[in-house]
Amino acid sequence: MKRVLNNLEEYLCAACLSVMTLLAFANVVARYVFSASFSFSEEITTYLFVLLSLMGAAIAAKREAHLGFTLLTDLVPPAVRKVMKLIGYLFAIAFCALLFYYGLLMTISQFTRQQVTAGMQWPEWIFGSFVPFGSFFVTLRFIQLFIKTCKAKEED
Amino acid sequence: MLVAVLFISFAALLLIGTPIAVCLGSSSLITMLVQGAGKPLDAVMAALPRIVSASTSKFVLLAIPFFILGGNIMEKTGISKKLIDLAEACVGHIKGGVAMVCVLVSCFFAAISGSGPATVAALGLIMIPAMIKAGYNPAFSAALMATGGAIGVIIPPSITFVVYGSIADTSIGTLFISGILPGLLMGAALILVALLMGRKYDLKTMPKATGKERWQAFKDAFWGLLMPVIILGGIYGGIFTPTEAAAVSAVYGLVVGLFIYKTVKIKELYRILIDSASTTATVMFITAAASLFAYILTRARIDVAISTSLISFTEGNVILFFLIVNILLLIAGCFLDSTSALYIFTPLFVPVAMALGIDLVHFGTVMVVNLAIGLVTPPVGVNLYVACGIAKIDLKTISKAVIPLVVAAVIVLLLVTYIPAISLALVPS
Repeated sequence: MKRVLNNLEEYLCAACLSVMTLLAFANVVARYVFSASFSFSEEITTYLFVLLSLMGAAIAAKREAHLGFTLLTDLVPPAVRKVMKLIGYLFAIAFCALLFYYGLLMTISQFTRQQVTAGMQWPEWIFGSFVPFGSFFVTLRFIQLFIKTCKAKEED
Repeated sequence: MLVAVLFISFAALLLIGTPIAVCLGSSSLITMLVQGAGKPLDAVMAALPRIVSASTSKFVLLAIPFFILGGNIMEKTGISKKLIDLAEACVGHIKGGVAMVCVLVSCFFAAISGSGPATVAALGLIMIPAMIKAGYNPAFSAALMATGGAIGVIIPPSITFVVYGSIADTSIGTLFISGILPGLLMGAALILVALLMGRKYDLKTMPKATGKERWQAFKDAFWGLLMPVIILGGIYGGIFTPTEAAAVSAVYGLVVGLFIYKTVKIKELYRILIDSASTTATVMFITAAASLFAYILTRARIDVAISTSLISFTEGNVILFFLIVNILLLIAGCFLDSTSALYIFTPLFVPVAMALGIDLVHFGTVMVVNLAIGLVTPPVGVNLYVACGIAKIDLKTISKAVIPLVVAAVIVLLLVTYIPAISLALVPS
């Protein structure tokens, strides 16, 4: 169970990216071979893209793969560098938590207003919920990174 | 006032090493809070999730994950080694040939992969040791590989062009075509520098390959070489949109890896998918945050203020405007990644370019060549970091070695800037 929770965004990302690629590819084939295209494909693919972007950002946070400007942090003593890093992570946590909270409000409002998507007329809140769902994981991973950095004794 | 809040908070966060996406996002939120002081918080912040979701659900940007996936699969098939073998068979016997191989393969690989650092990582592992073995010094070898990798963002497919096209609302297919000649010109310039520098070293050459060996190397690399033909041919011939071409390239890579070269195992696919998702997300997270930043610039009418002052300052002088664009982007390229730089600068420059009657495809090419150079200018030249890591040298050493190459690249930039035909010659009218 713990392993599943630790890697949840990886499973979802792999699934998202496979489905997106196959749908987009199938659409090309359908257009040329059967002279028809799936009208739902574009809408699903673009909505899954939101989920992929946020879940992938959680993976990147876990891997510390988000690009930053490190010239100054490389020059300062390790203790100062640690503080700088922690401040940066605090802002990351705040940004993602706000995105989560206001994303949730957006989803609730889409639900109560019974908004539907432009193309397929599906309930918009299902796709809207990708924002709070995804940003929940980014927030979580940045909190974990913050704690990990806090605990780290000495940095090389 | 708002401009100051936005840019000072951004710069402060950037300097302490905060991830660039967080710098952009946080400084935008701080500015929103200052601007909306007194208004209900919920109303002020409602734009946040909407912009994040709108900016990450753009159909044209879908080309990014697909090209990254296609490039990653292709790389796993071992295509880089085959391409290097082919280039060696063709020019390995010439003095300084190994440096030519490095640049030629960078151009080839650029046509498969959409990003610069990925090209450096894929080819550097083989090419940097090969150049050192042939007699080049490690710093120059690493610097040449890093600069060669920068060609990756100019020669299509290119993520940087996709991002520019989506912001400037310009045809990505046309932008791709316009990148071909500038990319090749950049390659030629780097080869020239490498050959001139090579005269200082005592370089070893390889025995000349026979026609048969060359044919064999070509056959081995054939399926890799076919990929850009499909992508570019498909876009050029109007068969695919760039997004579709990207999806086709990913599936093509998969078929080649699984069934033709048989070098990719099904169970490796999971890793490839995750790595591609993570790389995609670092770009998309910046895209989301940078869109928020661009929204603040627009709402506070900062973009109009800057464009208007640029228009009045340049007084219709195209040469002067391009000079300003090039200098600003070269400086920005030292501190920012290409995606952030595009989101911040494109909305400021495009109205001016339009007022001056500059073709937006040509303008996009100039911006992309600029940002490619930004990949190899310290301190935030990502390509330099990747190359340093492989060659095991420090940033200071490579920064010195890269100077002649950057000079050559800037000369190419000036040619591309002031001779629009270099970008527009291949574009069908």
